[in-house]
Amino acid sequence: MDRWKKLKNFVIDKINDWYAAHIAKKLGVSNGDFLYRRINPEWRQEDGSISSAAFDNFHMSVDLASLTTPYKSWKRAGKQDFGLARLSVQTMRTLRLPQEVKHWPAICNYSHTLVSGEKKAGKMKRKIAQTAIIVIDTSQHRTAPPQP
Amino acid sequence: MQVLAQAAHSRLPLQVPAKTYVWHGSPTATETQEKKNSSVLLRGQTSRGQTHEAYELSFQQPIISTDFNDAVVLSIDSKPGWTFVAVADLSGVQTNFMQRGEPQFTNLVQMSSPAITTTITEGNSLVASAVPVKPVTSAVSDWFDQMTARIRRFPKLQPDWDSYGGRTISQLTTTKALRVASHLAMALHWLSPIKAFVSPTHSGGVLFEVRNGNRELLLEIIPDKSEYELSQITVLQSGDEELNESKVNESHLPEVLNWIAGKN
Repeated sequence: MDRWKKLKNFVIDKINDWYAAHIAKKLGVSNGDFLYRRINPEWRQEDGSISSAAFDNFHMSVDLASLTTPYKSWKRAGKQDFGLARLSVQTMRTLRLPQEVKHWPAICNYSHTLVSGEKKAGKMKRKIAQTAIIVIDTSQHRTAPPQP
Repeated sequence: MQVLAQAAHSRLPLQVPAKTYVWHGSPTATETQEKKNSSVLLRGQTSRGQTHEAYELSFQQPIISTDFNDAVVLSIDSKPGWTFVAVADLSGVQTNFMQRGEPQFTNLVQMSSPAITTTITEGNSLVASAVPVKPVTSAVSDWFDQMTARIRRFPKLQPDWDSYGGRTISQLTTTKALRVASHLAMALHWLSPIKAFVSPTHSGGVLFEVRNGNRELLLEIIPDKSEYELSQITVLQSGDEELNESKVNESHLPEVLNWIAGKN
């Protein structure tokens, strides 16, 4: 089951990459824009802060705020207990190891964007976690259901 | 609790049989010597405290071994004020006392069993002669329970658990994480509240984040790698941060965790 799911995700990623590289119209991302990143409840610390683990992949998928809404971005998780955090494009580009922020549309998600760069070294993921702001809380911290 | 610890190959002494240790006999030469050198006995506050556990005790002032008793009065609070006065069981305990029979000073006792509990003292004499030894009840065990329960949930995460194609956490990685948690509990039992957090990573690893004052530690278990990735961060008085990144194996963990505990 796991193998099939992995294979399915791999194929979907490849198709999306091809689509973004050759077909989709890509937009420039301004420094004033924001990014949304879905937060698994396991990434939420007891004190409410977000774990650095939420931001550790080299090509980190996010949604461009100007092309979507927090609710739509959150809804893509398909799970009610997830949260949503907001990051600043400018912050990503001015880290000690600057990250490349590029619009990289997926077939089912035109707002899909990549934050690419080394995050393990130089406490990058920790810095990103410190600047992230919760827009939609994870279920254990939520007081009201997310509104469209 | 014990089962969890065993699974983690923990050295944490999580349960001890109920025993009673008695401070017995009239003062001996060793005890007299001890009273002269023990700030706890000289201060002799009346104190009713909670039960505490310790595996490695560090003291600001040296204590002295005793050949006549299997218990010695100690303070387990290294801060000024000596708020807690305690009795520690030294029988069958590995200490770095050089020789038994002769007074030896030390400020470090490594305990293989959690036999330390608070009692009542008045002046220089120990009022409560019978000291029951109780199982772990400290905040450390609660914290350890929560952390291990959390780690044990990680292998249940399904592929794509983070909605970005996250990989599952293997049983091997989980076992390693449980071992790190045990080391953490041992290193951090002095710190209250303990600010340590564990979370799964996208790549199928586990990340520990520990904060203590101006020190912060990020320790990541990478799947299929024997070494852990480590970031040690110190926030300087100027507000700047000093970063030290390295890769360590499990044998270096106590040293690393002592750093975050402020022991070196």
